[in-house]
Amino acid sequence: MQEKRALTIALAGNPNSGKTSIFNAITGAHHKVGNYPGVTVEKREGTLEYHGWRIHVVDLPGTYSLTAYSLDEVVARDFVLNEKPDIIVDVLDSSNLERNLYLLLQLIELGLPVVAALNMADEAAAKGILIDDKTLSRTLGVPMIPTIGSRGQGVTELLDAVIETFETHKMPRMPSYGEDIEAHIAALVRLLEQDEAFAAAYSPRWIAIKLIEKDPDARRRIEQHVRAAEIHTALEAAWHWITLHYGKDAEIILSEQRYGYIHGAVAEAVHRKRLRGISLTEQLDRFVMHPLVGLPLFFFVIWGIFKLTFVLGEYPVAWLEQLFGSLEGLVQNSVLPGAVRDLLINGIIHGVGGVLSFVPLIVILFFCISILEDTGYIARAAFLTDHFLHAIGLHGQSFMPLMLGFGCSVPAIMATRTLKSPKERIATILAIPFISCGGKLPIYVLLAGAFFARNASTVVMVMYASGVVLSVLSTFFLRRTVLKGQSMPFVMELPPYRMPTLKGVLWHVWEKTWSYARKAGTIILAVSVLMWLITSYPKARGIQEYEIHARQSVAAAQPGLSETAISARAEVLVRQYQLEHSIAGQFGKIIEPVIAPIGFDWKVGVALIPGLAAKELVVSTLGVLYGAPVDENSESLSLRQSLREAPDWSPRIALALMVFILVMPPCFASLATIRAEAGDKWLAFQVVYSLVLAWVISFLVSIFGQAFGM
Amino acid sequence: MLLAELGPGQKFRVLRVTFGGEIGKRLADLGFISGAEGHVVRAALFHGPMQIRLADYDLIMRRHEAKLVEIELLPQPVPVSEPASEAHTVIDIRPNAIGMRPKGMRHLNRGFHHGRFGRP
Repeated sequence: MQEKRALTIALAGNPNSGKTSIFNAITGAHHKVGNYPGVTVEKREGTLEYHGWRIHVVDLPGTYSLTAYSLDEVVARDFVLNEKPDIIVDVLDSSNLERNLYLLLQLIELGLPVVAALNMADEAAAKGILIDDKTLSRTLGVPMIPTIGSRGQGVTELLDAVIETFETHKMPRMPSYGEDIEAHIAALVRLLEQDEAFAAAYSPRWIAIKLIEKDPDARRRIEQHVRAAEIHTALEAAWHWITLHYGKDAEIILSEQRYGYIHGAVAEAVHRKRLRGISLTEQLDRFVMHPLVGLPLFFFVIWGIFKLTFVLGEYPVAWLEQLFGSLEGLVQNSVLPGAVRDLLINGIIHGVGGVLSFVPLIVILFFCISILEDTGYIARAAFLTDHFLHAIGLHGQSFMPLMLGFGCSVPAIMATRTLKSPKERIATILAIPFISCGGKLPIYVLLAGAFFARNASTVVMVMYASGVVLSVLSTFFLRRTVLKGQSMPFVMELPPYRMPTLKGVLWHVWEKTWSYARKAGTIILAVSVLMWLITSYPKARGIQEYEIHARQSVAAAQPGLSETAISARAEVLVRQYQLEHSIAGQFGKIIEPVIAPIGFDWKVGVALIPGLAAKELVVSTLGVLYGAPVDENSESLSLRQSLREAPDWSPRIALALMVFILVMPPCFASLATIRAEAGDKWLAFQVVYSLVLAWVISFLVSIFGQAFGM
Repeated sequence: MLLAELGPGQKFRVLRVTFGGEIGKRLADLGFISGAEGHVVRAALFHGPMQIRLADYDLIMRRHEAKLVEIELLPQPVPVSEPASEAHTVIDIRPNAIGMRPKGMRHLNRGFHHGRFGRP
């Protein structure tokens, strides 16, 4: 009795069936989020203690079926086949029972005990659907437990049923495909059973059914079977017979037979009352999905989210900056040796501050997104925008991430998770960096202000517009080359509007924030330290002598300056001297031949390096290199002056640099997010692709500028 | 006739999915099987995606996918023996509401999808 008995549950179900709320209700706060091995599909698992049992729950991806065509479905069925959980719990949306039972039949065929949760029992009742769970349970041979996941109702009964099923080894009844097809299945099963190792690994009946359904994965698996050739012959016979008899492809016939079986089961157990009136969902959709009202409403929603994220988000970001500022002061005045102090301030505090400065944005953004997702609005937005985005090779759900890109690429790239189609998701991720984020604005303002004083705002606007055009053209090009291929079929369920639960939304926000901190945060921190290292080391030789010399020359050039003014100006010179002799400075000189055709000298090369860490840093690095005073408020103004007066600068160079910065790889935080969301391959592609593109386009801009005498 | 050719409010019965493989299988999995009935709820601008009500639930699909579904058009005034699943359909059972209106009008209300001419 004292010894805990262990049990593993795999939680399956359709998308929108309330599976997540059941998962949360079962596991409470004790769960963790990871990935299924080798893929980017999220794996949530948790453990609970219940009546002397230690129950481990693994949440499978939400799917409608178990084909080999979608990653989610492959992950779900591979988990069941390979890990062999003790029980599968299938969460059914009771208000939409027949389509949900379709998945249940396929789960039963996997050959493990199954328990079903008749979830959203309240919604079904509101729709006038009455389900006799006892009869349904008897017909299908699966325990059916009514639940309301959002309120945690029925969860203990569900767990009791799971334990009872486990203890009694109660197996569900196998659905029948009718006499003739069953004969073909039986023939295949007989052959499959002749390879004992194979039959032990996979349920022969399941493999037989999948073979008839032309499942590519099942066909690959039987290549190792000792009777592979005979199986092929039997399979060809089955297909031939089915096509001859039914006049349709075998895979379609099996779907129809399953639905036929379901109709039979449901006819007895489900009763419907006709209800009067129009459902609330339909009333809302008349506005939300209206051809003319829907789109403006959607733009308004996006605008609202944008404002909320980037305007409201500014406050916590400012508080964090203040906090880190005072921390910086604390370290500055501490007794630590100079180099350690420097590392702490410019490496670690700035790095951690950089990581955390994204957190408020991610929290607010995903708070909004998960409300939109849980209510069902995201699917409606996809309906409204898909037509336009499909034309360039994207998806209706690409729109929101792209819009968010105007604020910051990091949350925008994370927002692509609502996209299920892998190619369109990658295409969206690669399109986002060309949208000018908030970090690029200071550079545009500085350069446009310095060289296009009269038309500065027009130039900035042109830069933003060019980014959008480039992102469209690039996507169009990529979807026809490296990301070629049919877009995933756009057939999505349109769930009724549902009230999101605060708990569900907060979980979602927490998961996203934590996954950002874990996956991207660590890299951002590491790179910040690296950036600090290469801009401040090796220490320039003779820097003390240089400082004395600098003070003397400043004092000599402008007699009558106060002691503090002299120190300030000398410090600028010293910083300039140090940067020039650092690794970054050397690197700038090394790459000068590469960027010289565009018209950039080594100083621009140096400024672009911290630009990889954060675009804003380009401005402050230029400030150091062009000897602008360190005072942050007047930095831009006097830097404008310095740049205008610098002999090697011209409007042409400024324009080329703006274009280069628009196109070049995004900041490290974004690159780390791309890596976390799309993997190393696409990270490498993004870096090389945008570097080459940046060079080519700014080179062309520079040549045209020259032709027009800029 | 193909599902993609229909406009809002039109009712249909699925004859067959004309294409096997991945897309055909997905459509069949989602309930596009012979005999299944439904109607087009609305369509997005410029021949964009369609919203389809199929038995108990709604889905949205591109015309491209809707071209794979062969259907027969059901007559606009829906037969009385329509499936009881139409939980959202307006059915006015007040005797005077039925009695006072000419026969054709009653059908309009239901044919044009949930009484676009106003609630009875």
